[in-house]
Amino acid sequence: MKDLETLDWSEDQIDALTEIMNLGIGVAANSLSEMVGEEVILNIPKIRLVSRSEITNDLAEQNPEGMSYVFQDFNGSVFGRSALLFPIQKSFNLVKALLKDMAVDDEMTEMEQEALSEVGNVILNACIATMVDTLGLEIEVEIPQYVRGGPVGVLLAGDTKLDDTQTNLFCAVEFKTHESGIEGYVLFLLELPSVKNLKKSLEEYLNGILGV
Amino acid sequence: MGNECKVLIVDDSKLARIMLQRAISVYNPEWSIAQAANGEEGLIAFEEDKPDIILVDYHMPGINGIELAQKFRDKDKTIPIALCTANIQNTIQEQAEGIGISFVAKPITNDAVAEFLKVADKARMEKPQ
Repeated sequence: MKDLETLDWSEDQIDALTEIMNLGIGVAANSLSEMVGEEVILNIPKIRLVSRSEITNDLAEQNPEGMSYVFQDFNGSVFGRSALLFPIQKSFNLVKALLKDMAVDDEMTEMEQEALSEVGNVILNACIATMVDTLGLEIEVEIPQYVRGGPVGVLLAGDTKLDDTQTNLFCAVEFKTHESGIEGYVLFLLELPSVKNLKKSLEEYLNGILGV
Repeated sequence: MGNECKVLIVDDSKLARIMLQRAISVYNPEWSIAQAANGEEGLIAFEEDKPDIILVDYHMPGINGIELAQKFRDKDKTIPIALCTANIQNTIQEQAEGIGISFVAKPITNDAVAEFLKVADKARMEKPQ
């Protein structure tokens, strides 16, 4: 794991990216809160440089029973993958919170895909839209894909443009609810070649704010 | 108490502090502004700068904005305080309301900050000396 300073990112650029992610996650958490009817508790976004395999190993270690997740790739001047992940033993909590008394035990697995896809769509798009609108990026978002996977499958499923050992910019936010026991992560993985474009966009954005 | 006013901004993001500073200066360029990057620094600034109005972020390292605002409120029952956050959930807004502070949603806009400052300015002018 490395810090963004190794790519010549300034403290202001890292701060601005963290704040923009905070804005997106804030909008997303509000939407999720309205859907499940309770407060969603958020952690401060963590941004670091890390390989895809390192993330996978970390998540596998923390969630040995596996995870269910929705991921959505985005392409443009900045490209990568966004994902919404839930520990597999907790993912039914989201379904129950969404469906309330309409939740039927023997349809849980089927409903989990529906629930995660819908929530993933709302949350991931809120985060991407905030980044796109704030920085004036042009990005195309692909259709979200659902995976009820084992520990190793996380973030390596589907087509990958790059070697899983290559370093990426990684942003993670953990969230949870107290009453319904929902726990999950929102992850953003930006492929390294697009990090340079993101840095340029942040520079332009900061220059606009600072009147440079 | 005239046109002089000290505003304290507590936010761990430098970008957010710059945007708030700009919004305050647009509202009244003569007001002075103090800044702190977390709750601990905010409490020190509160004692040293004796602000008239406070803006606090919610998500910060250490104590959160609601806890910090409560500490400010314990020291001064009437000082106008706004929670300025991207966490726009109803429960957070209710917590702010519960301790008698205002709520300003991020992203920061000059208009939203001005709306709070106008009310805060009026409240501090009416504050018994």
